[in-house]
Amino acid sequence: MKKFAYYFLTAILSVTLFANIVYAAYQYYSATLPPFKGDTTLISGTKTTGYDNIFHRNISIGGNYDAVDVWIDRKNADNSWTRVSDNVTHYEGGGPYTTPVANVDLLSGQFIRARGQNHDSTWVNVAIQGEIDLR
Amino acid sequence: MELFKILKLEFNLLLNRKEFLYAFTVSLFLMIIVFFINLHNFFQEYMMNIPSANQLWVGFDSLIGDLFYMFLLPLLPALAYADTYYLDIKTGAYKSILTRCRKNNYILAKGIVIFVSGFIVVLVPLLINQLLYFIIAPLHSTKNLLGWPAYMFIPTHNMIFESLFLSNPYLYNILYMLLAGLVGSLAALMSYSISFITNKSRLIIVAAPLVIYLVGNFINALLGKANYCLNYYLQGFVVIGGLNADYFFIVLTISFIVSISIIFFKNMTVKDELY
Repeated sequence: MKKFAYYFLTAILSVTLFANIVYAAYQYYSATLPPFKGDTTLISGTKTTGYDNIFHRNISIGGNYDAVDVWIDRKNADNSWTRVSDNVTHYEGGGPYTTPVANVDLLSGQFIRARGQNHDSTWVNVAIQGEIDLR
Repeated sequence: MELFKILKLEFNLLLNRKEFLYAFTVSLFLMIIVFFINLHNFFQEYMMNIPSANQLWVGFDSLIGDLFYMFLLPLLPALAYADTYYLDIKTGAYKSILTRCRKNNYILAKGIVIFVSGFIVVLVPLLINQLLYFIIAPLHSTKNLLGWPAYMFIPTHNMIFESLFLSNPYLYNILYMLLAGLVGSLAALMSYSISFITNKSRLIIVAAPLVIYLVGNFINALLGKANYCLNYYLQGFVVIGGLNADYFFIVLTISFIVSISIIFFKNMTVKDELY
């Protein structure tokens, strides 16, 4: 019985750990998309893997606006930023979307940021929320 | 018969008018600049990495297209020929014209030419922009402007004429060119009708449609009702939810009726032919 309890506990711990690794990488963000397709940072952080993409899900955009254009910047040694991906349009309620980098190899430990702009030109600031996994 | 003679005269005046040529040149220049920007972006690119010509068209989904529809669309047609009635009165040319023809024919001919001028200033540059893309882009492509993989088709659920886009994307673009041309014509007609209400300033007459358009769109955006901003109804691909074709056509119809009514009633009420 005691042995079974140990197995059971170990199994629970393993599943919980696996779930943490798989799902905890998503981070919630809340940002404002500036008028006239101004750029803004949705989220920034350090890469924990060498995957050349990020994931984006649970997107919610204010007003009647339905989509955001997302791309990735990588931080350089001199603290400047270099764009490493093309724009990818992410729809409210859609996804999870993948934004792949283009012709660049992202490494674990590199500092990156997900940038966004409203897909449509507008006069006003638009609120956006969602979850991004910088991976 | 008299009407046709005046129409011919007015069309000659339109084609030789500096303001018309300036407005047309600005509009055309902008469309060619957009083309060259895309030409630079896709220079030496594999054909399979270039979106189709219908998606590259300026009225489909481009920043410069957005700005054209937001700011220049009501201004350029009004600049072209819509202030000529005001100028005829100011310069006194009105007197010599009315001694040679009936006032109603003169007003009607001018209205027709102004309406057509607004249409030309908007439609022809948009059409040329689309034709230019046939030089550099394929008719159909798996590459899309959203940065999505080839196996994912761009969402069409926000489009007003969704089935037309899916069946014939180029006809869809032509429809949007016609709609933009129609809005340009109505802006010119509105400007013409305002010249019957006030003769204080040429600037008021030319800028009035732009101001009405901008204020309307701005207030709707500010109230969180982007689906009532008219500029989104003129672009082929927008991602605004809740666009309603009825609303758009009702606004156009009201603008037309109001403009015509002003012209008609001002002519009915003002009996003195000569100032």
